[in-house]
Amino acid sequence: MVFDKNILPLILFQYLPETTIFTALSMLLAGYKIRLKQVVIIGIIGALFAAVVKSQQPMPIVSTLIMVFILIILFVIISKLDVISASIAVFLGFVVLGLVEVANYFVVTGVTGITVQQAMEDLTLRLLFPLPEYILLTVLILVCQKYNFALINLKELKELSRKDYER
Amino acid sequence: MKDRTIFNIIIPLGLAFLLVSLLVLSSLNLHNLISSPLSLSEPVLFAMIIMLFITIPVLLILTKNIYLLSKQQKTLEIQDFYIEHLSELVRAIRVQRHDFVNHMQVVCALMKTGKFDKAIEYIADLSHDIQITGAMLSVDIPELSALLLAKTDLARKKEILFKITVESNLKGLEIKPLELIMVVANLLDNAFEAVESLPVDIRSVVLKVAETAEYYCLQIKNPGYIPEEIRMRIFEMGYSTKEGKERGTGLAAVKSVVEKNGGTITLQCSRDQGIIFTVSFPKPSNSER
Repeated sequence: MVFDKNILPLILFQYLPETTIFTALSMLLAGYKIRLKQVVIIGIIGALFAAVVKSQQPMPIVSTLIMVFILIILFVIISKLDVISASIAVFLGFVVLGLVEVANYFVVTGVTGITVQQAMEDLTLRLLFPLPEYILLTVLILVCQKYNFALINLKELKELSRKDYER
Repeated sequence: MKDRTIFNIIIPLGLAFLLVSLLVLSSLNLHNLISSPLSLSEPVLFAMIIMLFITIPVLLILTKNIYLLSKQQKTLEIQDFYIEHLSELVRAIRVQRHDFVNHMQVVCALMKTGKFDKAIEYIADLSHDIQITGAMLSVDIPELSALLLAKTDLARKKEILFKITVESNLKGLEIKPLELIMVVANLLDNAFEAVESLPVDIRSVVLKVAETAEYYCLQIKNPGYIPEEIRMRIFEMGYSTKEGKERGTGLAAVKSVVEKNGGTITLQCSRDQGIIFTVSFPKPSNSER
C-alpha cells in the first residue's frame, strides 16, 4: 500500500471534513438528529478508510462506491441504525453531495480557470478546490437543522410503522 | 419497516444514486480525468450532464412525495383504528339506549300493576349499572372511557363479569391516548380470551385504575394460572401459547409501549389469586409538568 506523500494534510483538510459533512448531511436528510460525537467518530474512521481506499488508486467512482459501503457499515455500528435506514441515509447524503460536488467542479473551474487536473497536482489547490462545496454544504446542514428539514423522516416513518395500535 | 414503503422509497432513491454516479463520471470525463468508460464528445456530455442535473432533483422530489404519501397512508391506518373504536362505542351506547327504553317499560309495567317493591328493587339494580358507567366516565382520558364502555358491552356478550374500579381519574398521566388504549385493550382482550372457556360463574375480569404518590397504576386480574416457564417468556416477541401466524406480538408490543413511556409491567400469578397484570407509569415530577 503506497500512500500519497501529502497524506496527512489530505486526511486532515479533505477526507475528514468531507466525511464529517457527509455524515451530518445524511443523518439530517434522513430525519435523524445529529449527535456531534457520533458524527466526529464516523468522520475520523471514514477519513482513515478514505485514505486507504484512495491509496489503491481505483477508478474515481469505484472508490466512491467502496466509501458508500464503508459508511453504511459505520452508520450501522456507530449510530445503531438498521441496515436499510443506514443505506437510505447514505444514499440521500451521496445524491446531494454528488450534485453539489459536480456543481462545484463547474463553478470553480469556470470562475478561476483552474482545471481539475491542475488542482490535483498542487496540494494547496487540491485542498482549496472543494472549499466552496464544504461551505455550501455546511450552510445547508445548518439550515436543515434549524428548520428541522428532512427529505425522508425515517424516524417518523418507523414510529408510524410500529403498528402498536394493532393487536 | 418491512412493508412496501421502504421498497417504494428505495427505487427512485437508488435510481438517483446511479444517476449521480453517472453524473460524477461524466463530469470527470469532461475534464479528461478519465478516458473510460465514457468517451463521448463534449456537447453530448454537456447535454447529458444538464439532463442529469434536472433528473436527479426530480427523483429526489419524487422520493420525498412517495414518503409523504406513505406517511399519510399510515396516518389513515391509525385513524381507521380510532374510528373502529368509536364505532364500537357508538354501538355500545345504542345498545344501552335500547336497554334503557326496555327498563323503563318494565318499571312502568311494574308500577302500573302495583308491584312497587319490585319496581324499587329493579331501579336499584339499574342504578348500580349506571354507577359503573359513571365510574368509567370519571377517567380523565375520554378514549379510555370509550374503550371501557365498549369492552363492558363485549364482556356482557361473552357472559363475563367485568368489574371496573376507578380510584384515580389518571389526570396528569402523560401518555398518548392511542398508546394507553393499545396497552389496556390488549390486556383486557387477553383476559377475556383467558376466561372465555371457564364456567360462567367464575368467568370474571377485574380492572382497577388507581394511583399512589409516585405512580399511576392499571391492574387487570382474571382467574387462571400461567406456568412459570411460560411466565418467563410471555413478553417475548413472537412467543405465544396459541397457534397462529400473527400471535405473540400483543404482550411484547404492550411491554415496549409501557417501557417507552417510562413505565413497568409486571405479572403476578398464583393459583389462589389468579393472573394479575400491573402496569405502572411514574407520575411526572413538578418540574416536568
